[in-house]
Amino acid sequence: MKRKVISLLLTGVMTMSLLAGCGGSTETTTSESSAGTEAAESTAAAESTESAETTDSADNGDVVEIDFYMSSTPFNDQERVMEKANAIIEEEIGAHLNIFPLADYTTMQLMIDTGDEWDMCFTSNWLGDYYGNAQKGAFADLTELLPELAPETYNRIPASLWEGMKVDGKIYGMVNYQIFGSSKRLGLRFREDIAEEVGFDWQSVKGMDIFDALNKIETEYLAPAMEAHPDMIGWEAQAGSNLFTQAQAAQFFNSEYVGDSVVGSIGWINYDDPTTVFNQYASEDFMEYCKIMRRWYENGYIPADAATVTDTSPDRQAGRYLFEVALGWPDDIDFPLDKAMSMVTDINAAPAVEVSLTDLVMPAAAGPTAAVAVNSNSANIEKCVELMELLNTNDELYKLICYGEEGVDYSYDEEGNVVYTDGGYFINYNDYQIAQSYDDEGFDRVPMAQNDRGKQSEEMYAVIYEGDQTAEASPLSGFVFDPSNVQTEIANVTAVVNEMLLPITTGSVDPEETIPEFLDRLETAGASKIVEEKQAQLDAWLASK
Amino acid sequence: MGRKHKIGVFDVSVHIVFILLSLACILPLLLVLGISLTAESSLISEGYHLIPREFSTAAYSYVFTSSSTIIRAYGVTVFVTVVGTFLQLLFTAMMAYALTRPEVKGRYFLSLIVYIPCLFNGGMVASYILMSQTLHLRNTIWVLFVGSMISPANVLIMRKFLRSIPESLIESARIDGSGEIRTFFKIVLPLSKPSLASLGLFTAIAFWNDWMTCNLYITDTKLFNLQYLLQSMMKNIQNVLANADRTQGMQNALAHLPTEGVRMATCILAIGPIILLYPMLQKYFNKGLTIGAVKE
Amino acid sequence: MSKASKSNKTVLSAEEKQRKKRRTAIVIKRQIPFYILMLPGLICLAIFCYMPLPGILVAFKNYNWREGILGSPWVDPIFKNFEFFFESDVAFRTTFNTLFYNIIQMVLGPALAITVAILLNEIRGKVSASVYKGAILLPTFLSWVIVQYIMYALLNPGRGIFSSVFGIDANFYMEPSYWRVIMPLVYLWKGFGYSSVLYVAAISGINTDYYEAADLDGASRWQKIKYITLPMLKPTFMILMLMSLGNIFRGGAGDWQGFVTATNDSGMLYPATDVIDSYVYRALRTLNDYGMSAAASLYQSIIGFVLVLVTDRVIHRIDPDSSML
Repeated sequence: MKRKVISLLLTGVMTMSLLAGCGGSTETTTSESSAGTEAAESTAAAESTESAETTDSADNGDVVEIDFYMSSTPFNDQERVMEKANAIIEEEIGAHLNIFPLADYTTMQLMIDTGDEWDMCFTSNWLGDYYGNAQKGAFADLTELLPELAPETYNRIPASLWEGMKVDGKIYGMVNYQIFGSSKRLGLRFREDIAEEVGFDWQSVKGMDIFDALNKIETEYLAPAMEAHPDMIGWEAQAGSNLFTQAQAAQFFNSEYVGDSVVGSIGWINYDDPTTVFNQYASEDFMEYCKIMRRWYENGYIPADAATVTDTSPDRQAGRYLFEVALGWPDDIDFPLDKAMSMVTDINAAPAVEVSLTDLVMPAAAGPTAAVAVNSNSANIEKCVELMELLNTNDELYKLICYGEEGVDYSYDEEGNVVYTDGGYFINYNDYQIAQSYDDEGFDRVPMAQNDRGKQSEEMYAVIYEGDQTAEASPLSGFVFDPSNVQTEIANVTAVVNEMLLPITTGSVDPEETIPEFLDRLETAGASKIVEEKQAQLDAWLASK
Repeated sequence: MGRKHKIGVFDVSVHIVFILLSLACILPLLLVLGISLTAESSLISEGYHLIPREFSTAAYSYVFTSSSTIIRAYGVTVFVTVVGTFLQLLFTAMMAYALTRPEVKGRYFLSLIVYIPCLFNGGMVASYILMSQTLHLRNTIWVLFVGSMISPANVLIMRKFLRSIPESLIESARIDGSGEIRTFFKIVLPLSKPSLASLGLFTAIAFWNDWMTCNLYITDTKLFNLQYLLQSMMKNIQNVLANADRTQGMQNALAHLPTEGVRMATCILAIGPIILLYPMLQKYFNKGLTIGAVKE
Repeated sequence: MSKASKSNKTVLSAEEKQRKKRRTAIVIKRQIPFYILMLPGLICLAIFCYMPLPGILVAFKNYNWREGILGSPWVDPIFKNFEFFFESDVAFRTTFNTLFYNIIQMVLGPALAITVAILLNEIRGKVSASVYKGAILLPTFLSWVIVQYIMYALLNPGRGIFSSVFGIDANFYMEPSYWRVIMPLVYLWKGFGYSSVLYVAAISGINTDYYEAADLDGASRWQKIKYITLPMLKPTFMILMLMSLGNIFRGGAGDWQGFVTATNDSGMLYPATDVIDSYVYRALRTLNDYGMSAAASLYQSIIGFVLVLVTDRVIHRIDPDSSML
């Protein structure tokens, strides 16, 4: 019994000492936070002068620790690879990089919202709330630091991307520009073998209006294909090919989301009338699209459980879809390349062809699709920017962190294809969170197949890069929506959309009956208030231009 | 005396009822096991079956090769579950016992203090600030259990259980010169084994299944627990599926999502050794633990 | 009169005070060991439950990270964060669903658990009783994600067991009315094993002398259950009831994830499966608005708290042994 009491007391003492150990730090946090009531920019500026001093002292031989947070499952063998990577980083800029993958990115938001210690993090407009956090002043202002400390990072990529990063005229994140480009031209992907079998001329839908295309496909491809292959699925109406939940798909309707583009966002503009915000669910396009979906549902092209099974990966892996939305470009008319349907690893199991329907546009959100931000409270803001420049320019370092060591974690097989070692270091395809994969002297930053296919890919990437330079920038580039006045409405609208959108867009319910009800409920939830707020902010922004 | 009963209709029907209940509880789990051991191609073509049509352990080897730290994570989870459950039960029982004693004044007030946290909490931000910035517990093994060292609900439930300990026993211990604390450890605790075991069981499951704490406060690979590793695979699936149109990187990730079999294997691995907990505790659940049993 | 007694007291004081002091000294001294026993628990409560409690204020604040919980400005009007729930068109629906499932649970849960516990107690084969107990505990070990998989494997139209083996072709995930039955069943299935074991523990705490005395009197099985076991289970039953009462405004008595995961989060089922918490989760998950979620949770807590305090005092009047506090 005595032993128990002692262990008990010990635990008590330990808890007490833990408590005592924190007094000082709490005080510093409060004093820091009370100082930070001024506008975010001025604090960030003050912060960066402060940090200049600290980096100076760090240059005297001390290695600066930089904590980088990203969204991923844990990596295998991270220590081994990071040790090698840090040897390079320490030698080049005297910093030590620690990468922390977070499985659930709400943790990152919590760290930001509690003023916790972190230096850099992955951010975007779809994960990590780039605009929101930049508006809150959580991210450091990099407008001046970038051209100065990271000239390559800054100059290499299309200027319209930096325009899209601006919040109140300032840049708060470093774009992770990727070789697969940022401009968008949407298309459709068909099963090559089945199109051939039923004699469908897939090339004929090139550049077509989406509704004409869908109707044509229905009679010339879907109907005969479904008859020949009754166990196939026509169209993935609930997820990947849902034109009203996929942010980019608005382009099919010659439109773009204004501000936010997560599920539940209300408010599009049409490229033909880029100053008027409208509720996309009240548009004729929405009704027409849903009617087509209803027809497909009743004909069995869309499965009966589409509205309720949002995880479609098993069906995709089994290659069961007849056609789907394709986000990549160029298509197979401009640049033929062997490919498979989405999520099918074996090209021969489900060969695919792509054809594009829309024009090439650089969306407003292209910049913050993938970016890295620096904590405005970090003591090493400049070091962080230097580190990003190093990651963006040192190919060996970038490849090491993204793909591991050649020969250990990946290798080339006899045909020259890249093979990743089972159980080796692997960052789960999250390379786009680390840095830019593009470099202007060729494509040395990504392990590319060393055969004809690899060469083909390189040629394609060159076409894409060219396209990014010439793509027309969205009329919304540089506009940022501040949702703080309509938070209540957004919450309720989001809930209504989450409840009703899938049944309607999968054709599971009759659109003529349900859409009016849907619109009524959106109205009650405050949809028009959101549209008005977006319109007001857009007007103000246009006026200021 | 009870032994004289013959096996009657009543007993037989009770057994039948329990056999059915047990099947309702065991079969679904066996189904998950079955799916996890079925080859992927067979799952797609033939659907789910209790007994695999085409046997395969590919799903399990996938989980183990894709995460080299899984064995270590088992260790972390076992350690946290054992230490956390032990401390919580001890603190909870101590507090509950004190709250049953008539000597303690203001018991209503004290139990109110205990009850309030059952309903009110400060929310994520406040607890995060406490753990991370005030107590500096990020990336320590402590953070995985210190927050749960007392369970307010269990204190109140335990208090009811402790009422059934006869006052005369405690009185006689006092007359024998035993101090109150000694009485608690020597008499009260041993007598409460069944209730401790049943509360402990649930506490242990809660520690075992907890992945949120690890997600919030642990970034050190060495301290990852099992559920976090497994849940992070699931979170990754959701994230990739929801955002696949955003970047080509997501599209690439999409092509390599774990299959259904892997997800089921993950479930089986997640349940893992905790299922052995019941057989270990089961002797405490048997009836007839009497005062006589304590004295021997 | 009071004056007189007061003066009387002051006259007596010297000796009385001394005795009173000694008595309080004894009272305090007798309490000390118990306070020592409570100390670790109280410290943990203070640090981990009470220190973050000011976080509740976030419900009335426009929280921002620079100024922290206490420094952030108050919202104007002060109940603005509460508006989003009460103004939504599903406030009634979700409240109804929450209460509907919780009340079913409060009635059927204990009824099933107590029956099972008593029957388990009646089984004489030690081995079979242990096997049963182990089996019914299994669902308790499962997380909701696993339950989701299991249910999907059963109900999935086409490949699911119900459809492929039993030929039932209903599309469960699109028809809300089924779920008024399915949800309570799932919660019962997942929870009854554990509460049964709790009641088994309570039964094993009953002094066997009672049963021996009853046996001597020739009491039947049923009589022993009715006059000994059931009354002795009352305190455990009451406390579990009060606990669920406190959570009556929380979906699934606090364990609401089942309503999101077990239903595959299917929008078509919301009329029957949407509870307050799942609604709040759905509305706020993309917003990072701490104020509104804190407000919703505070509203649920306060109602539960008031209900429990009142009920508990009423119970205390009737039967002090059964009150919780």
